Amino acid sequence: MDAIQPIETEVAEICTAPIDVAALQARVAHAGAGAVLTFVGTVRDHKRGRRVLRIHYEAYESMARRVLHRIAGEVRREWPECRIALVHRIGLLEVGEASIAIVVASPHRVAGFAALRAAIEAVKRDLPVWKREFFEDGAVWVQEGS
Amino acid sequence: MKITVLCFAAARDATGVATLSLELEPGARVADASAILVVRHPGLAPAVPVLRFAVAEEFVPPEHVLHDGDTLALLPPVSGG
Repeated sequence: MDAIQPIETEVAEICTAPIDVAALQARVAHAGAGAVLTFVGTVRDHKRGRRVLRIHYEAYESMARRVLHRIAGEVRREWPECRIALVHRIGLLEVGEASIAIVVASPHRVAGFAALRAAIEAVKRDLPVWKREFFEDGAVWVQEGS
Repeated sequence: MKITVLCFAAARDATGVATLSLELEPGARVADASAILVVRHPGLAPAVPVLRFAVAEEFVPPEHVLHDGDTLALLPPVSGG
């Protein structure tokens, strides 16, 4: 890293470029955080026995930003000692690429794991993002959480 | 009154457009708008029971009352993460 970045308490972004997980960790990690937890969701190569080639992620972008901020705020209210970064990528992603990264920096692991779990479950429930899976023989909108 | 409707993912496939405008009676609710859209775009019918709605980028229930100039979004079950 070229310059020292300020530590942030909340990061909530929708992006199109590949997610730089290490940079995201650096944005919320700090000397008081003995536990830095990271969840990275990636494009899986199969769905119920069918080979997945790639996934297109579409968002209601302005609302998605708002929902990510809301989730970050809720996590910070319940676990004020935690700092959190949430980034969801949209566009066409290949197998293995990260679609989402969530980093929680916490003084202790127990609160960190709880905050991270709450954040990803809230994303799965409310973030207005849709994935269209491309198989060898066609594409479908995913209609259930997975 | 007139509202703007945003259609995402499978809802866009069903209507064939990302954005449309809709004339409604004053006092109309989200459920009324949805019922009119199903008549115009029968392909939406299977999606309606699982659709969620947002007005001004906030989730709202079907009984939410719409106002002139509102932006209503049709949100199929989300699958982010």
